[in-house]
Amino acid sequence: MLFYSFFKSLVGKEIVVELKNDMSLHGTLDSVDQYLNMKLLDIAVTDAEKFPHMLAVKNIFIRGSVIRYVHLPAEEVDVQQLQDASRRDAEQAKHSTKTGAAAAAAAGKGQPTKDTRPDQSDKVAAS
Amino acid sequence: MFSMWNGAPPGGGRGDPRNQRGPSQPNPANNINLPSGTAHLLYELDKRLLFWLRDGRTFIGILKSLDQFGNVVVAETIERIYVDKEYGDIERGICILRGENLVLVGEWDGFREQQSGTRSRDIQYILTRQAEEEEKRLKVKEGFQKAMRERGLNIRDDPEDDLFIK
Repeated sequence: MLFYSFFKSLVGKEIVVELKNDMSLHGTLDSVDQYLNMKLLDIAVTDAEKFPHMLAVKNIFIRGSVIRYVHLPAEEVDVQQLQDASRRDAEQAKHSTKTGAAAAAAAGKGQPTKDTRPDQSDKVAAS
Repeated sequence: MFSMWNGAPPGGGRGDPRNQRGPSQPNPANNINLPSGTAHLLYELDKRLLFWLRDGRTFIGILKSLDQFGNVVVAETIERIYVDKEYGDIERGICILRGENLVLVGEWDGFREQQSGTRSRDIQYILTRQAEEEEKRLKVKEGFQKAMRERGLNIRDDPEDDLFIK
């Protein structure tokens, strides 16, 4: 979710999106979702001659899976902050797997019960 | 059973009141609470859109329905084939497009289209032109592959066999 949050912070900024079919689009980022689908406003296509059907559209929705690169405005990206955020994420992930494993081990050691329903304790600890 | 049907037959003809939503009625998307800045196509319902598919084809039609996979139902669809700045249309009626095949969805802008300098031609003419262009492209590709083979490089894995053709 880190990059989703990151892209959300870029809403309203001008970006260039390069697609896997070698088309690059320049536009204002309007919105983004968890799959990194993006909506761009007032787009311009680099090398528009090659893509005549893009001449009649202004606002577009791009499927995240077809995006190859996103060129960002350098002044809008705080690399330090991104780095810190990813470290925090990693730390959290490590922590949650540890406690999850501990809870699962504890549940395994406990009194065997007749109840065959799946034990929920590890899930609670993991979340 | 789908609870939204309430046991009623899943109708669907012109007489079905669920198909009667005109522009005057509120878009059901307004009732869905998403944080602002979330990308979705709900506000594009009932608008004329351009759908660009992964195989390079272009469909233009009115978005009628969609789901979380990006599958869409498009009405009054035409497939538009461009050759340079000329195009031909084929009527396709109602289509369901599978989400994974979509590259992008664009809001159709009639004014921009007029300004774009593209013009409509007879579909037969366009299809012939398209076939010619395709032949030309294949010839160039074969020439390239032959040259590579002569130099001992056999490109077996053609990138055009990949998900994207054009």
